[in-house]
Amino acid sequence: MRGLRILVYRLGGLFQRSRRDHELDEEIESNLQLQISDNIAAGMSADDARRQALIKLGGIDQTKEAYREQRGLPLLDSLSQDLSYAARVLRKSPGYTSVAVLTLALGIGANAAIFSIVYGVLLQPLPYKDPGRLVVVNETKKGPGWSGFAMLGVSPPDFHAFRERNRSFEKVAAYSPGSMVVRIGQQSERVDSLQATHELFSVLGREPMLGRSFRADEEIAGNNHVVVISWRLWQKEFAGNGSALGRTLTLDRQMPSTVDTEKYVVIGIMPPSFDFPVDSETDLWMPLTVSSDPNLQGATYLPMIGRLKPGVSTAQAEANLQSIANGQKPYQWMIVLDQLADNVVSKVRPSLWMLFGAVVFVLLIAAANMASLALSRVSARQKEAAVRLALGAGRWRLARALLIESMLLATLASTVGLLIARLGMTAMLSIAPSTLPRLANVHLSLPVLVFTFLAAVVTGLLLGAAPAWRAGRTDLQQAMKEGSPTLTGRQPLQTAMVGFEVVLAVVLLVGAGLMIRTMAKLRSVDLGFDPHHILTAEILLPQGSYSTGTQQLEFFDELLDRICKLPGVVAASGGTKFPMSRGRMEFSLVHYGDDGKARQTLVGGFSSITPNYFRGLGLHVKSGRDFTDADNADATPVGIVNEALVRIMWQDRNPMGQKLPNGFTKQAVTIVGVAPDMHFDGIDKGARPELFVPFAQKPWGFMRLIVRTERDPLALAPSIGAQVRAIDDAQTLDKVRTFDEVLHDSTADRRFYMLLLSIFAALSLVLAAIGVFGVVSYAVTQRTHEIGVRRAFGASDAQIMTMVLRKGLLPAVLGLIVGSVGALALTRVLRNLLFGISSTDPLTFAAVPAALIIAALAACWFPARRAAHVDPMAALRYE
Amino acid sequence: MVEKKDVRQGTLALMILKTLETMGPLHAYGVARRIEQISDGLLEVQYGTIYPALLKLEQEGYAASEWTSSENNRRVRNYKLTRAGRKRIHQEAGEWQKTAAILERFLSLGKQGITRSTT
Repeated sequence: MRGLRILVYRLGGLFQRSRRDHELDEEIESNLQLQISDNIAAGMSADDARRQALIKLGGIDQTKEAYREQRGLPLLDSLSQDLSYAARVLRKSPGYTSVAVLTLALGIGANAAIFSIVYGVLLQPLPYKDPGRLVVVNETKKGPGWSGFAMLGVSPPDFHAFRERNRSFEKVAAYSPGSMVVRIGQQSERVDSLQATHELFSVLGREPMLGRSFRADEEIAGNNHVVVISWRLWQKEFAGNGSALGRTLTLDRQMPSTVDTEKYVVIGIMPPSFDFPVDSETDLWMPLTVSSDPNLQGATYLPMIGRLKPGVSTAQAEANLQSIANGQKPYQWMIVLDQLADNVVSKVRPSLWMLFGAVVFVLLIAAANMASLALSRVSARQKEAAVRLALGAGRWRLARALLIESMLLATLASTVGLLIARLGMTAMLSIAPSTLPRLANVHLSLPVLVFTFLAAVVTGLLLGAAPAWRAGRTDLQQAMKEGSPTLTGRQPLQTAMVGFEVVLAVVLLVGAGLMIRTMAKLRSVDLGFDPHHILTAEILLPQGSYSTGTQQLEFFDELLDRICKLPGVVAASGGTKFPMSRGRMEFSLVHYGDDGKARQTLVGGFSSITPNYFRGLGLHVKSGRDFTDADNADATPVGIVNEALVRIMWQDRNPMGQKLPNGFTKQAVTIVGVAPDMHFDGIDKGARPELFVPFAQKPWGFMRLIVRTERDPLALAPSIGAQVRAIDDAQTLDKVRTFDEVLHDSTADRRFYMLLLSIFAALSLVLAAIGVFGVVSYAVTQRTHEIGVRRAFGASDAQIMTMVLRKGLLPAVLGLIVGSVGALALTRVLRNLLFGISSTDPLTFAAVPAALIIAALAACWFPARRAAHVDPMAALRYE
Repeated sequence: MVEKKDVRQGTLALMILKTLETMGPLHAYGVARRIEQISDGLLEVQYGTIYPALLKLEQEGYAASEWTSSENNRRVRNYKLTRAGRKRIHQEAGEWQKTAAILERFLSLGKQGITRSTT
């Protein structure tokens, strides 16, 4: 308590100094007068009395100084002195200051922008209670053939078993995403929805802000017409009115259920911050009835989430569920548990940290650059430092003044940097790929500001450390000698810093180079068909009005007919997926060896396609025949497989006529043709085994259209949309894109990282070049006299220039060597992003040094020419 | 001749407080002179050190000051003891006495010990 009181008083002592000083003067003077009168009374002369009193006092100024130190906070006092001194110094050289602030601001701003993404996506906890205890449960198999198996969830019978018998979870829930059309009055709108078992909200630890969540008995069919709605939908449809509770919503289910148009009672409204699944913009949550059909044991399609009991580890829970799964019949799945947060962001985590590392490099380069500049300035100010030392300033005080100067620079830079971060963040978000989750979380939040502040402090320290150390070691004798050259032109510290900059720049350049090469490789992938002049779109028919396969087939048949007849259309076809669209339908089959024993399980993609699907794309079946209109519902079920499936299943034997059982058609399909391998999962992914069946034999309420056009595909979009409405007024086209756009989007994530890395690399190259320029240019200035002498003795232009070039190329070459070794080690983090090249791509590792040497030469050129043009007479006269 | 001693750090504060207790409100010069008088010339007090010491006591809340007019119409800053200051005197005085007593005992004990070991 008393300590606090003293601090308050001392802080108070920092203010109103002149009044306090005045009072002290008066106090000392009045006491002196008292003493003097006493002395006179004791018989001294007036002069003597005053002299004796002053001796006794011990000096007025010393007393005042001691008093002042007690009055304020001496450290703070001198700090504020140093601060205002630093501000004066910086104001006096606006050129240096603005260059330094801008350079550092770029570095700090880029860091803040990238950190805002790292924080928002990776670090910020998910908006659920205690999210570390939330795990998702998946079932899979291990072994060859299963590697492509998409982990979608657990099987319904397993879910029931887990729900009843697990000992590791407080609660578990299963859910199933879909979309629905909400009808209110005349208007209808499609929104994302989620059916979930009643535990979902308590698993997440979030409850509706109004109303309630599901009761257990609302999972039972008949009771399940209740819905919890999002804050967003509540605002939009009910204008945020509390009377929404108990109102009915007319919902039309679309996928993947069989329920017709129904009325649902609104029982709860979630708070605005709630979102589940993460990143989904889901507006409706309804109870899910998990089928208790034991035949579904093989179908692991049900997403499952659970909240671990306190103290139970993921591994323990995994073991617990595994032991339950091992007792299930007829399939025993392998259980994989992931933290929910990992599940959301694990794919992008390495890439984002890689970006963060890159941007830290940029800041380090900027700081090294400015530190080397500051070192030169310190050398130039050595005389000033020496004078201050001679006048009694402590060496620590001198060093501290420089540290404060660099801190001030860093603080200014971080302010400008935040502006840059804001702009940069907006730009980044506009090009961010859709594969980057949680982007809505990315903004300049408090943690980002704190990070920026810390980055500024660290930068200030890095920046000031070397100059401060140098200033603290100022040699008084040497510095004060009149006319002596302040430095002999050797600046090992600056040279080392520039070398360090080059090292980091090389690593960034190699990284960027690898990404640029990857993009080029991706662009040159042969799709097997001409991707231009193709329009793609999706149509999702509502289950309510198109509940049977016949209805669905009729709609799509008529639509494709109509589109084909449009002028400008070359061909129109459709299927459940097209190249790069990714599909979620998968079949698995057991591959039997010649001995009749099961050898491996094969997982492949399944799709239904219309007859001219391959021709529409410009492809041809490799052998056998394509589907025709004759392959309808009444005909023998047939299938086409791709070459990848043939290679695995039948090797060099003829696949025609083979029968292929799958989970989608009632009977096994007879193979009638072999299709070429295509990139369904992405341009960078090899072909997986694929099975195609005629759309007419396995129709869906969903189709992806492929329309080949004569000219600009997008120009046809309106008339195609009109054909859809002509058949059914209520239906619309979704996701209308040209195939070029599809291709573009499929590489969006790599392009994002490539762009950012390239920007950082370019920035680092420029900074490193400036660093080389600074060192060389400073050396030339310092050695003007020496160069003059050399020229006077007959050194040629070439000799002088070589001398200067060597100065700049030394750190560049050394940095290049170290940097290349570093790049070999570090670019391995890029491996997952690379395509078609290795992380030791020789072309990149050859191009980067070339670019760097050219940049270094360019940076040396102007100082070198200046050196070559030094007039010996002028240089010597200057002396 | 007796050597004059500088004031030990920390003891000056107690001396000032004690002076203020016995003399009542007093200015800096008066405090310094009084300490010198009491020490009977054994202590050399540099009057300049009294000002920061008084300021410190004021910051700590053991003393308070106010400006008054002296007999010859000059403004003088007078210091007086606060209640906290009074408490501190008793506390510190007690501690000093205890310390002194312990030291005294140790010092005399040491002599006895040496005597014993030599015999």
